[in-house]
Amino acid sequence: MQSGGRRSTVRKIVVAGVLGAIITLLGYLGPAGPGFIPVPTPAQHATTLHVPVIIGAILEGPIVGLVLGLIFGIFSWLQAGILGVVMFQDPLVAILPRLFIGITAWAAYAAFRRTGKYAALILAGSLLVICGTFVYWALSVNALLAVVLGIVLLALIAGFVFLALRENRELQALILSGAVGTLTNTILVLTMLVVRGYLPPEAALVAGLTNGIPEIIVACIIVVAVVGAWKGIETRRAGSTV
Amino acid sequence: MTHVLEVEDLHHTYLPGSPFEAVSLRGVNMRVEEGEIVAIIGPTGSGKSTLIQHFNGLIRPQKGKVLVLGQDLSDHSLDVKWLRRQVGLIFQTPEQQLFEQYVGDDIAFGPRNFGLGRPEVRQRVKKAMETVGLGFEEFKDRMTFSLSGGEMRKVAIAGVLALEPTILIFDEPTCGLDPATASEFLSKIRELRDQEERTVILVSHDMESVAKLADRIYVIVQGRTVLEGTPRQIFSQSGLLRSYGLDAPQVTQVMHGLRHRGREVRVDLLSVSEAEKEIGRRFDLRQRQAETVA
Amino acid sequence: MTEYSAFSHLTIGQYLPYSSVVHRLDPRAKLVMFTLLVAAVTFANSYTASVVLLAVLLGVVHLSRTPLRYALQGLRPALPWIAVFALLQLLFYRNPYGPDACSTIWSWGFIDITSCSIRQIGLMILRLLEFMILISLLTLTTRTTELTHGLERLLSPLKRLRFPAHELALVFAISLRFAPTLAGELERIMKAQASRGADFGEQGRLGFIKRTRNLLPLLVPLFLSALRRAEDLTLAMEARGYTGGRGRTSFIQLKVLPSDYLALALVFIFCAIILLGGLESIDQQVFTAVSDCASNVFGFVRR
Repeated sequence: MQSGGRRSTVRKIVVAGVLGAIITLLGYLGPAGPGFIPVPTPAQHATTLHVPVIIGAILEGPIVGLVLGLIFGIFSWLQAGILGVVMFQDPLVAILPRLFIGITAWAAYAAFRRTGKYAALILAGSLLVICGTFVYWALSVNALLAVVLGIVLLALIAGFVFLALRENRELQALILSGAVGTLTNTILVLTMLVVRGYLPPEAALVAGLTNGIPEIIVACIIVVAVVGAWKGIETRRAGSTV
Repeated sequence: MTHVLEVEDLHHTYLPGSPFEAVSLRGVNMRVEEGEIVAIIGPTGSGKSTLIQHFNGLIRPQKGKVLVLGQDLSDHSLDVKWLRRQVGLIFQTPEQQLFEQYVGDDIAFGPRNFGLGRPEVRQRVKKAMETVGLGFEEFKDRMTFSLSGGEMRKVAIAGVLALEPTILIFDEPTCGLDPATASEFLSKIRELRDQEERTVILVSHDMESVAKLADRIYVIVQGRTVLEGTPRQIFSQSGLLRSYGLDAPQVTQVMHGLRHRGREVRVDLLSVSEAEKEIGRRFDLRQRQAETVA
Repeated sequence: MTEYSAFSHLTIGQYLPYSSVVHRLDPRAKLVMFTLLVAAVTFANSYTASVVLLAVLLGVVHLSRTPLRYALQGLRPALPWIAVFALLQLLFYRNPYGPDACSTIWSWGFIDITSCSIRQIGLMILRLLEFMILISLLTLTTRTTELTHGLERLLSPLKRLRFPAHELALVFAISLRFAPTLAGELERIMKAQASRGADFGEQGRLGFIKRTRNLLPLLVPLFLSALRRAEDLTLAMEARGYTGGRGRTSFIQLKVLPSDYLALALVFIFCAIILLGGLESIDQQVFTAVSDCASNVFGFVRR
């Protein structure tokens, strides 16, 4: 039989290629097609273009995730170039943050599948500390937003703990991966926007909260549906709803 | 006898006015009566897919008329949802459209889209599954993608049957199936007409199944109806068919071959048993066999 | 979405085998020129620059003997939402140049239509055309294999740093090749699900969760189809003895000719002029000239 290493490389290249094609296709069709979901927020659209990146990372590993993030970033950058959206014409905003989507999504997926309950709880604890410091910083920017942010983060961590305590890890790993990947996208892109001076921190926080949450939910739904179907993972214990 | 479907001088051009402009239909005429099984055959690229996509409203008539159950499809006020309920279109390799994790959910997708209540949906799914030969309790909670290819195709077909359409259109139903499963499918299609009084339209390259099932055949070549008739009428014109790039069922081809070599045999035969009888009759084979033995 | 067939006829990734100066250029040179021109298109900030760019690009299209209609075909599916975007920009554009730089043409509530927003729209449309022509030029005059090889050779110095240039180029090639195929697949899936009564249309008040789940009948089969093709392609590649990029030689030998260097130099100078030449001042002059003319004409008519 073929050696494992070589075989995986070919598959990785090909999977990255076809998922890259999907990214290009969805992005190209724009809001007229399935690449965007209208949401009732100021930004109007939640993008689903990061979902193929997450799926690629889950199925084939961090390198494929990195490559897909690159494709996503380049596409986003080119699109901004045409439409004249100045903020995203900056490659540091459009491309650099996107490289990490796949890596964090994969890490979350791989790690969560194998960690025991206690390791997950410890992780939750450390996340709590990190988020606590973040909220503390946000307080200095705008008190109200910081409170909202704090509540949201708390809810997320609680959700994480809840997931961690279940038995069947596959499904939760997918949800977590989708959430982490989307969060990476949102947080890093907004950070770059603030760092490069395109957006004031308050606006970034608001955008992050209003658009970020729907995007997480959207991503998780799609990731679970697709990877669940491809790998045959049970998403509902009782079977169909008929 | 009522026409459930009528096509009159239908024309269609893809992407008119663009560099990719392509004329696909150049005047198709067709008529289907209630309870018939009508087959559409033709070489690749003859416009068959374009034609059948008119029947459930995916494509609107650009020029010419299409009437389904009395409704003119050029009418702007056409209720497309009603049309989709009446005309069930099953695409080639329909198993590729499955998306739900569980079989029951995917089949229920159609009825749910039309706002049917929960008990009604369940009833329909059950009936559809039984029609295709998938036990309701046994399969409804199975994971869709863990089934075999043939089973997945049955699920996809059940998904359309659950809408209980009056007219069923199958695009290459036996494509990619092994002969046993293909045979099973074909008898199920006949059952749909016989037991449930549905009208069936069949697009196929498999001449054997067409010969077996169809009451009438339309031959479409380059976007035009060129021949129409019963299977016997159509397949006995082997030379004409070949000029269109089509073949008759293999058995019929054998008979044509025999006639070509000077044997006086009938060529309007469609099945092996008919051929056997005809050859036996013509060449007195059994008698000769008896003589040899003796 | 009643016009289903537009998706599968994307021009991106399709090669038209005419014979022209542009076709014969080395793909590496073409890629570099493409990048330079993309930069020029993106950062050109004046009408003059944009118009000049457009004119030059149209000239190159003519040079390549490609019919213009093919080059612009890619715009078709994108048109509706470009129009929406343009409208949004028109209504909500906030100018970063300070309040004195733009003259307000029409104001209503918080909607300001200024000369700047119109300018932005105009530039955007020009940029769109230019970009479409650029990318069509590249893909219509260069075979996919040439593009892949060109990209790979350009990135090959990075191989020394263990950068997988060959693999990356292959990924791009596969993406390009499968985009139209998957578009056709998407169209097929849409039709099949629509035949079952699925509704993908815009329905304002639906919660976005519901709408996401409405998209699953499209997205799940699309992804699965893509992944299945990936499996097939992997098998096919391995069956033909593909073992990765190490020590891999190529049937296509790329040679750089003097004409390539010449073309490169021309493009480089051209882009430099566009980006650095301060063409905004010409804008102003043209604008004043035109408005002078216009007021003269109006004055004449009024008399």
